[in-house]
Amino acid sequence: MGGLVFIVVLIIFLIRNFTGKKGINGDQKDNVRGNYISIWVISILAWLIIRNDHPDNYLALFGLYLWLAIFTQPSIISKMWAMSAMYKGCYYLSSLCYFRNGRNLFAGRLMSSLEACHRLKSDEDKRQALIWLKSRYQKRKAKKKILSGDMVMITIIEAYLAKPDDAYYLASQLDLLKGIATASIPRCVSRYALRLGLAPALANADWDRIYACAKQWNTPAINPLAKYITALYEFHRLEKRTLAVRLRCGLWRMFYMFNPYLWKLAQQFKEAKHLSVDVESKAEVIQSLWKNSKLAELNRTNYRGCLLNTEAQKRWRLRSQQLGVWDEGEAWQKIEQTVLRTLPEESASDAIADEQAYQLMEQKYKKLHYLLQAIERRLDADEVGSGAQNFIDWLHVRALLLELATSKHFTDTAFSSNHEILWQWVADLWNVAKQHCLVHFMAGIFEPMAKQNGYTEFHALLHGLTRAEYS
Amino acid sequence: MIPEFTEQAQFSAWPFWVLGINPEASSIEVAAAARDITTKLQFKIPEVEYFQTPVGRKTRDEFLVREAKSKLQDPQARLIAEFWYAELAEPEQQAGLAMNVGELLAKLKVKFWAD
Repeated sequence: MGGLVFIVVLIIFLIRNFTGKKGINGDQKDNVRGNYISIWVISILAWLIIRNDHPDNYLALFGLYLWLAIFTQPSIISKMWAMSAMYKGCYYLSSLCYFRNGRNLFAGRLMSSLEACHRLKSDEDKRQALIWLKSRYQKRKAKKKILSGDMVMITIIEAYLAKPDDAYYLASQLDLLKGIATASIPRCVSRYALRLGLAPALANADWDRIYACAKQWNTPAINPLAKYITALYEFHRLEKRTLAVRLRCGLWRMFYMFNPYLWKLAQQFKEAKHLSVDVESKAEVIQSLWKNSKLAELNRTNYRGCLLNTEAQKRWRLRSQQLGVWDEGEAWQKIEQTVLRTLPEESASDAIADEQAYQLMEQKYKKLHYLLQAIERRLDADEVGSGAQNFIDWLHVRALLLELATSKHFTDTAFSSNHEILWQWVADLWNVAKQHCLVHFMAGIFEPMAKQNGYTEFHALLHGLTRAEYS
Repeated sequence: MIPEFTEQAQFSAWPFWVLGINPEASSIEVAAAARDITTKLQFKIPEVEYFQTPVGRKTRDEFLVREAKSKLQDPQARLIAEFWYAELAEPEQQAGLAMNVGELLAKLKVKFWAD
């Protein structure tokens, strides 16, 4: 009887694996919670039946326990393999762990393998391991679809390869994934990405950024830390003091009763000063700008006021006289330009502070243009490329677009002069490569830009894509 | 030339860091500091090729020292460098700041590459 239940359950899950619903954003959708609950219920039922029917059949019981572990907590098995630091073995063997989560199989494999890489002792070994992992997604067949979990893992691996010791860089790369579909991101990947993104924000005590990070990784695969931080933010910062929010805070806090730092996070939220803190001195402003924190970006007006006040103007005009500057008014203007370049005024984003800033923006614009031309040449040669290749190109494009976003002029020019290439790229990815998940991500970013620049047809197409009007 | 310093105005004080001096230094002291570092670089004295910046240790060569000196001898460039000057944290404090993210990653129980 127990064996029969085992086979039936196995068949049900195999069928569910291959007939998963497709989400509206091209990602794979899955009823994760329902799946987990049903697995637990059926597993316990099977265990009870085997125990009653064949109490002495230890082999059946052992098989059942093993099956229970793999089906309910695949990450346990994958972690056991990862502990041995055999990243190649981990990569291939984790297929067994994650086969039930077939939709996220590749991301799961990359994640387990990366965990194994972390166990390696020398930096060179780690680097070689990462290069090997990179080769896995580079050599992946072009017809294989890239899903959001894969995108997250590729971003992390690429960031580790580019700047291995820079947690800030990694967090900024993960920021580029805002707007990605979250349905197929495996739980372990979502939790890992959240923590990586969270550490620099916590170091800067940047509460808005912490909240944004938690919201970004609050995926359907349960991420208790994201839920805990979201609840804390709502309770302490947004002052939603309702019973529901209070209960959510308490519930998710229970997950961290053995982690003193996260347990005390509630207290930190409570005690944190509001972001619009008064700036005490010019040195503090400059030191904050060195850290390149979001706090500086949010406090631009305050910081500008501190650097360019009347007293400062008097002082630096006097100093320019002492140094023998020809025109003290012009000297002060140049100082103002450097400040405005670093802390641009929100309403005057069109104005580019000085010639040097203009040249920098122009360089970025050209870089974007050449990158898109390279993509166009590839598309013209009927080589759309693999999902990973297109995704990495897209990450570069998005990073450049974000850098250009400080100037409306450059953003609009970049979009207008390249929109045909972008259109062709989106169309080929959708029609030829069938990379629907990636296209949804891209369409979500391009849609407002197309609308703003008056490209009605392109906008209609992108709008249709984001609203799942095409299949 | 360190691109990240020349591209971002908040690092305009880089000539002071390269020469290891502060805005109180006179033109003579600037020249003396540049001469001193150049000589040390020529004699390949250990550790002299490194200097402290807000984003960690960077390397300097004779060309960079010359460029820093010429920046500080130009009144306009010096004014901007002085405007953006702020005390660097002590190396120990800087390490503390770097540890901060590392410690947080440890507290969040997440493996980072540098671990």
